[in-house]
Amino acid sequence: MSTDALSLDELCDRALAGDGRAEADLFSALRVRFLQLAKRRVQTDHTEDVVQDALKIVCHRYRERKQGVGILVWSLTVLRNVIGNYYQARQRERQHMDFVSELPRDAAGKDDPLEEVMAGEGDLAIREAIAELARRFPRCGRIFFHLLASLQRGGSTQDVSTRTLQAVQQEIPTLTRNGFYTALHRCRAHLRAIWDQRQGVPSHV
Amino acid sequence: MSERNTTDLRTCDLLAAYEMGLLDDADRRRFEDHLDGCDDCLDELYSLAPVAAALTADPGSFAAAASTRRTWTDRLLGILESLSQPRVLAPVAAAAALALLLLLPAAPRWTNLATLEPLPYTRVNVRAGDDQGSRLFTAGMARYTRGEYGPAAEILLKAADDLEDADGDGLAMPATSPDQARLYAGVSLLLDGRTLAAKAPLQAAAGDPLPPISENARWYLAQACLLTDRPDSAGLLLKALADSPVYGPRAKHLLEEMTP
Repeated sequence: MSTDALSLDELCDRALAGDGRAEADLFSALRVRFLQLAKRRVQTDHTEDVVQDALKIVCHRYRERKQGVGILVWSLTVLRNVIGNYYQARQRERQHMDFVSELPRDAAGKDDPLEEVMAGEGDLAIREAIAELARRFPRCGRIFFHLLASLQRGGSTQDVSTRTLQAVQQEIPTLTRNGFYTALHRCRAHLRAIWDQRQGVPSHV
Repeated sequence: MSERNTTDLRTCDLLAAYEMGLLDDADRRRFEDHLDGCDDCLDELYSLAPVAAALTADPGSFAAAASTRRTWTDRLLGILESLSQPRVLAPVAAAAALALLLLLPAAPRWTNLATLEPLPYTRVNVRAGDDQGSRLFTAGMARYTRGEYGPAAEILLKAADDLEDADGDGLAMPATSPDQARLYAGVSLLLDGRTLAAKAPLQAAAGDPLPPISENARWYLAQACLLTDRPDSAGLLLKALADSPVYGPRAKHLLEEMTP
C-alpha cells in the first residue's frame, strides 16, 4: 500500500514497525512543516540548520515518546525547544560581545526536549491555566474534564472520542458531533488566551 | 492576533480534536492536508504544542483542574463593587474635609493623570457565535471600530445581557463572553464622556478570571476613578495591575505620579 494516503501517526506506527519507506516519508512530511514554521521565526540563513537540528532530535527520540501524544504535536514541542535554544544562544552571544559576565541560564544542554514541559513547574502552569479556564467558562471545564477522564481510561482514539462525546451529550443532549468539535475549538481558543497571558504574551482580547 | 487567513474554518474546528488525538484516521489525514495550506492552523498547533503534549501524556493529573467551578470570582466582584459605594461622611468629618480643602494647597488634578485611548480590537472569525448576543457584539464592535462610541456602548450592553443568558443555557457556544462585551461597553462609555455610567460594566468585567479581560477592565476603571476624583480607588486598581505584563509599567508610573 502506498504511504501517500497515510496520516503522520500511521506513518509513525509503520516506521516504528521497521518500515524504512514510511520513516523516510514521515521525516519528509515533518521537514516541510518545520520549514514552514521556522522560516517565519528565525533568520533565513539559519532556518535550515534549526530544522535539521530539530529533525535530528526527533529521529533519535521519537521511539521513546509517550503513548497518546501525536507525532506532529510531539515534534512541534521539539522544534519549539530548538528555536528557543537558538534565541538563547543568540542572546548569550550578544551578552558575550557586550562583555557582560552574568552566567545565563543554560537550557540548551537538556537531552530530553520534553523535560522542561513535563517538569513540575510546567505541569503546575498548565493545571492553573485549565483551572482558570474552568472557572471562567464552566462548560469548557466540563468538556475538558470529560475529555481528560476519557483519555485517562485509554483505548483507541475512537474509544476516547466516543466516550467523551457521550459524556458531554449526557449534559448537553442536543449537542451534535460537529457541534462538539466546534465547542472544543472554542475551549482551546480560551485556553490559549489564558496560556498566552501566563507566558507574558501581550493581551489580545 | 491577526484575522484568520483561511477559507476553511470548518476544518480549523478540528484543530483541538487533532491535538488531543481524538480524530479517526480519515479526519486526521484531512486535517493534515489542510495544515499544508493553512499557516494559521499550523501556527496554532505550534504555539500550544507543549500544552497538548502534556495533557495527552498525563491526562489524569489535569482532570481535577478542569472540573474546578467558579468560586472566588463573586468575592472579587464584591470587593470591587464596594470601592464604588458612595461614602457618607459624618458631619464632623465633612467639616474637617471642608477645612482641609480650604486650608491646604490645591490637590493634584487627578483628571489630568487619566489617559483615555481606545482599547484595540481585532476581529477573529470563528464558526461559533450564531446567537443573538454574538451578533449584537459584532454589530457593536463594528460601531466601536468606526469611533461611534455612544451607539456602540448601547449595543454592547445589550449584547452582554444576551450573552449572559446564552451562557446559562448549556447549549450555545457564543463567539465571545459577557464580560468582554461589558469591557468594550465600558470603554465606549468612557470615550463617549459618560464616565459614571462606564463604571458598572467595567467593574463587572474587572472580576473576570480571564486576565486579558480583567486587566484591561481594571486599567480603564482606574482611569474612570481618576476622572471622577477617586484617587483612592484608582490607586487600589493600579496596585493590582503592578505585576501585569501588559499594564505593569504604566500602572507603576501612574502610581508614582499620584504620590504626593
